[in-house]
Amino acid sequence: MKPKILFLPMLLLGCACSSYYYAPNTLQTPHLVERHDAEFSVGGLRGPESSGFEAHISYAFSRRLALMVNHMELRGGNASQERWGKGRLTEGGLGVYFPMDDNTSNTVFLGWGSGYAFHQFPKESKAKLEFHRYFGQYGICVERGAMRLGTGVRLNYLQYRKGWIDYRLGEPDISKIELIEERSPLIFPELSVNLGIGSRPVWVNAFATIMEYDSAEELGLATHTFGLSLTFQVDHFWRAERASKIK
Amino acid sequence: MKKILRLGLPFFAALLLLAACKQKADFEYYYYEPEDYALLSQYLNLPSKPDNYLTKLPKHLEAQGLFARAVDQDKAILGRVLFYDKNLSKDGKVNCASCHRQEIAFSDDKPVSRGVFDRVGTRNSIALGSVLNFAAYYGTDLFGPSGIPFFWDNRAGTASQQNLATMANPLEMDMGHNDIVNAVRTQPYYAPLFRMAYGDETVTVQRVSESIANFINAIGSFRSKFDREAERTIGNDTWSNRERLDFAGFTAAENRGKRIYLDNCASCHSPVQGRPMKMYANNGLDATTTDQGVGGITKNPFEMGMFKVPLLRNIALTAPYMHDGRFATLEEVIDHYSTGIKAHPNLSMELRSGNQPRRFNFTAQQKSDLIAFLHTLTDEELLKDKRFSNPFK
Repeated sequence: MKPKILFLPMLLLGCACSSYYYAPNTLQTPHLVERHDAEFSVGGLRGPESSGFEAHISYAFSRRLALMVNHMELRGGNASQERWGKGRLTEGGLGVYFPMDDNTSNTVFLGWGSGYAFHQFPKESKAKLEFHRYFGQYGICVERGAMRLGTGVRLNYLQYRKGWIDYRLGEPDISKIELIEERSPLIFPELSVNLGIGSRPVWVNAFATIMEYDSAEELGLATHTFGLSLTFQVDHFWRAERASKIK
Repeated sequence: MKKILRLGLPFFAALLLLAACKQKADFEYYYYEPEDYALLSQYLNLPSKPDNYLTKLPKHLEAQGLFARAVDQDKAILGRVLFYDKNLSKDGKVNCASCHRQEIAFSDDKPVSRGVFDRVGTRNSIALGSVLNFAAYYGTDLFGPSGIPFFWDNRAGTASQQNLATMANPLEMDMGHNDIVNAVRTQPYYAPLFRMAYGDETVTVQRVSESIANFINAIGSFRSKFDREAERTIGNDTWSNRERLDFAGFTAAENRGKRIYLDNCASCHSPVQGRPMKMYANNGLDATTTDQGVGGITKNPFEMGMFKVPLLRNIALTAPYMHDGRFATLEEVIDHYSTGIKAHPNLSMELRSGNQPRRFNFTAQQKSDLIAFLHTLTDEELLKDKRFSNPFK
């Protein structure tokens, strides 16, 4: 049995030209088959004009239930530039897993997280938006030999809560932020594909996540992220240790 | 376990839903420091949440490749105050708005403008509201000096050059560079505005002119009845001459007038009032000219007597007409083109019939229809747009 991971939420950030106030985090589909399956992933990802890293943990704490925790940070530009931004999201989820066989696992998670998007603009004007994100997701992960394929869909309920906005940041960002305030909470789906190669207990994954929201550009929401990650099926290590002790 | 699944997950889901329960975002916006706003409010009516100077042009104009660059909001706000500040004139009685009055599309109702000490100018004030948007083409501060220049004789390449020349003109505001800087420095309300726009309180003539240029570049007229109908009828289709179709929201007279305009006027003034088709021309006002216009600047004999070809937005509001304000009404203008064009060596080809001045010979009905159409170019929203109004108390 193996665990696998999860997904990540995210937030967003900015850059030299356009500023984004949300970006889809990687939706990784954990491969959970039996109790105590556990997985840890870490990787880098890129969004429009931003890049960062993610870390994920998932753990099957019972025969059907699992927990997950995700963290992501993104940054665009750098502090020496007039325009730069950063974003962070930390979230957790509780879910169920349904293995179809030793190689295929279905998962459903419900979760909640919080984060922020911060941008600095010329004249040192700043904007910081804090948000909560609630989500439900379904994923399937299949392992065959040295390949692993995961795909999933997530429904997000993105609720911007607090914001501190210096009006001097000007257009077009003021309009984007006012529109976010007007339309929040936003509900939209995301789809993710994750292709891995390797063998237990380590996988190298390439992933891409896209979000679907009609007014994404108008609101400054990035519609995609992609990246690479390393997944460690950590249950493998303690199971190997236990097996050696039994022998 | 099944019990946990059956009860636990729905409970968890319900908890999440409860937590997520529709809560609106609560954003705090800030712009001025409280003490700055208190100071500004003693002199000015500026909103605590600043005006948005973002311009979005209608589709039929964007499809022509015209778009409005965003101006710097802080500089535009500062520029608005400068535009209306009479301290920027030698006698303290004239501001930019003296000759560019918002209620008449930022034009002047006098044939030629009057400046400080009631000095009489030489030309009619060009209506700022005659253009689609300065940043779209006249706004050459944003595009460099390659755009369409300013003044009737096109002698200024940018809005900054234009406003500096106007302030310095002895017949207008009569302010040298030092005068301008001193006048601004002595007004207490400028310190916070300069800090907002430039990060410090240093006043320079370049900053003054740049700020005014940002304000001017934010002004635009594109919300007329004509624009509403053109956007609906033409949309993004720039290939099918859809402007020739009757507009559903126009009266019969307005549609007839539009056809007359497209057949006889648009080859110089633009079919959709986007970008003038000619930068300058001689329109046969006089057989011999004393004011040489563009030629007076370039000294090119083939440009003598030529003047800027304006767009006709808000034309019904901007009388009197021509560079010297000689025509008091639209009827007089149309009469000129109908039967009054004079022979001039540099007369525009569109106004020639062989070697003779062309006679359009409009009928009374045609004149009436054409005027009805020209009234559709009036942008009422521009006239009462608070963002461009006088901020002084």
